[in-house]
Amino acid sequence: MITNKQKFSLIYFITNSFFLASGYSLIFKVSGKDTWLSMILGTLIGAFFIYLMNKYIFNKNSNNILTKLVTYSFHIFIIFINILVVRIFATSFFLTKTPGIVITLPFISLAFMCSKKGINTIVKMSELLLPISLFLITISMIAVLKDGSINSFLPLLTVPKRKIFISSLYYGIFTAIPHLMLYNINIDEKIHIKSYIYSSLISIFIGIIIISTLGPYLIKVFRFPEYMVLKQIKLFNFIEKIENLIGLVWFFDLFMSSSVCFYNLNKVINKNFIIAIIIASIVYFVEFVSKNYEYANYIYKHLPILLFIIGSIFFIIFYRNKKSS
Amino acid sequence: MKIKKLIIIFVILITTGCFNYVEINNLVIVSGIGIDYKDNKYVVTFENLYQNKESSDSNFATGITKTATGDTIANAFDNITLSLEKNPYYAHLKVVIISSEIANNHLDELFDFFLRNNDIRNIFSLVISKDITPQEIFNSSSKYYPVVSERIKNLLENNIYSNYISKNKYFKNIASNYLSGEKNITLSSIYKKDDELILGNLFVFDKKKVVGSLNQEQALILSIIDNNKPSSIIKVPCKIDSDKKLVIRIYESKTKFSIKKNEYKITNNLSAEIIENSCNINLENKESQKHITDNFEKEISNQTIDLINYLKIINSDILGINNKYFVKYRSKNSNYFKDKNFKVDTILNINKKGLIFEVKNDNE
Repeated sequence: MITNKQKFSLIYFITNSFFLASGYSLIFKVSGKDTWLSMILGTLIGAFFIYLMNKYIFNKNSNNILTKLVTYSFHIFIIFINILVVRIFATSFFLTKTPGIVITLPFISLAFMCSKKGINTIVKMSELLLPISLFLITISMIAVLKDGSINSFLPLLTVPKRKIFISSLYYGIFTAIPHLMLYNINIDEKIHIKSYIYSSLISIFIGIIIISTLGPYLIKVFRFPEYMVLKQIKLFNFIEKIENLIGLVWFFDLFMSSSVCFYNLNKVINKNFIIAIIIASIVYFVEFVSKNYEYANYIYKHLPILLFIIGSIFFIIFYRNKKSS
Repeated sequence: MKIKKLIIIFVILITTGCFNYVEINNLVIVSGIGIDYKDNKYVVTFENLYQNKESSDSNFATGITKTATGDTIANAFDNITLSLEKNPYYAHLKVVIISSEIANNHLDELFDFFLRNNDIRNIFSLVISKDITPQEIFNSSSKYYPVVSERIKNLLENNIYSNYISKNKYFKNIASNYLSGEKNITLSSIYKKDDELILGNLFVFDKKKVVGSLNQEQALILSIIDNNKPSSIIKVPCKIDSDKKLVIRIYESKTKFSIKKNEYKITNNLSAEIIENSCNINLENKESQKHITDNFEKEISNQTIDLINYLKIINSDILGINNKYFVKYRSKNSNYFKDKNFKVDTILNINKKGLIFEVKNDNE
C-alpha cells in the first residue's frame, strides 16, 4: 500500500528529474529573465498533460508487442538521458579525471538494484530522500537570497511572446512527460495533479532565485546555472564551499527517476540478462555521446522535442490499446 | 552468494572516485593572481600560500610568488605549473590584480577565462594595479604582511570610511554588469607608495575600456547615490572662519531616480550625523540647524551635479540610468544618460549631533 505522502515524494522527484543540466539551462536560454512566467504557464500545460495521462492511459496494462516496444524505448531513453546527465555533470565538476564508466556504472547498478526490490522500496526511498532534498534546497536558496536582486527581472515581459510560449511548452514537457513512467502505479488523478503543482512550485521558486542571483545575462551563459548559484553560498560568513554537498539533490532526482524506469522495464521484460544488455548498451552509448561534444550538444538542444515525440508515441499507443480493449 | 560478495568488494574497491584523489600535501593554495600583458604575451603571477617555517606557529602562512608568460591566459596558467612542485588549488582565491593594459584591452578574454574555469570560484575581488605591475605588487610582501593578497582583501573589505573607493563587489557581479551592459563597471585600484600598498582612485569604464577615474570625494558622492548604507564624509567651511570646517557623515541614503522622456531627476534622501564642529555652532538652536542643513543640501547637490557632469563627459553610465530608462519605457536608448538634462535634489536629515551638546559660543 503506497501512502499519499510516498506518492507525493515520488511525483516530486520525477517532476524535477529533467532540471539538472537541461531543464533550467534550456528554458533560461529561450525566455531569459521572463522565465518565471514561462514556468507558471508551463505548470498549467504540464497539469493538462497529466490530466490527459490520468484520463486516457494510466492503469491500462497491455501485452501486445507494440506496447512493449514503446515502453522499452521510452524508459530506455529516460535512463539514457539520466545517466548522460550524471556523467557530464560529475566529470565537469567533481570527478574530472575519473573514467566515465566508473561514474555511470555504480549509479545505474544502484538504481537497478533498488528497482528489483519492488515499488514499495522505491517509494520508501523517495519518502526518505524528500525531506533531505527539501532541507538542502531550502538552506541553499535562503543562503543565496541575499545576493539576489529584483532588478534582474526588470523590465518585466520584454521577451517576445513566442519565446515565452516555447519556453512554457519546454517546461510543461520537462516536468510532465516523465510522469508517463507512473503509468502502472495507482495514483488518484486529483492527488497526482495536486502533487505535480506543489512540486512545480518548488521548481519555480528555485528558478526565480537563480534568475535573481545570476542576473539576466549569466543565466543564459552558464551550462549549469542551478549549480553555479550554489557556488556563492556563504552561511553565517563561515560555512562555504558546500555546493557539492547541496548538489546531491539533483542526483536524488535522477536516481529516483532511473529506479522507476528500471522497475517498469523489469515488469515488462523480467529477464536479467536482457536488462544487463540494456545497461551495458546505455553505458556504452553514454560514453560515446559524452565523448562527442557535437552529439551531446545535439541531444541537449533537441531534448524537449525528442522527449515530446517519444512521450506522444507512448501516449498514442496506450490510448489506442485502451480504445480497442 | 560468494560471487555477489566478491562483486560488491570489487565494486567498492575500484569505483570510489579515487582517480581524482590528490593528497593535501600535493596542493598549493593560490591566494592571489596577477595578470599583465607585455610584448604580446600574458604575464601571470600566482601568490601561493606556504607554511612559514621560520614561525613557531604552524598556521602562519607566507606568500611566495611564481610568474610565467604565455600567448593566452590559459597558456600562462599552465606555464606556471612548470615551476610549481604542487597542484594549484584555486578555491581560496581572494583577489585578482590586473594591469591597466588588461583593463583597457583584454577584459573580454579575462571574463571568458574566469567564467569558463570550473576550478576558480567567482567570488573574489578584482582590482587594477596603478603605475605598478601586478607582479611588483605581489612581490611587496614584508615581515608584517607576509601575504599580499590577504592584505589587499582586508584593505578592500575593512575600509569602512570611504567604502566606495574600495567597493568590494564580487567578480560575478562585475562580470554580469560588464557582459550584459546594464551598467558600466567600476574597479578599485591599488598603488604602492613608500613600500605601502594604498587604495587608489576608482576606475570607471565605458562599455569596454577605462575612461576615467573617481577620486575619493567623487567616490563618496557615488556612494551616497548608489549605496543605501554609505559612510561618506561631507564638509562645508565655517561662515566666519573659512579655514575651519563643519563635517557630517552620511550613514543612510535612499536615492530615487525619476526617469522622464526628456530628463531625469536624482533625489538624495539622506540621514547624517555631525562628526566635527570646528565652527562652534550651537546645535540646539533651530535656526542654526536649518542653516546647516541648507548648506549641506546645497553642497551635496552641487557635488552630485559635478559628478554626473563628469560621467556624462566621459560617457560612463555607472549608475545604470540608460537601463532605468529601458525598464520604464521598454525601448533602448544608449545615449539617454549622456544627452538628456538632469536635476538633482537633496533632502538631508541631520538627526545625530554627536556625543556632546555643549559648545564654547554660538558663532554662526
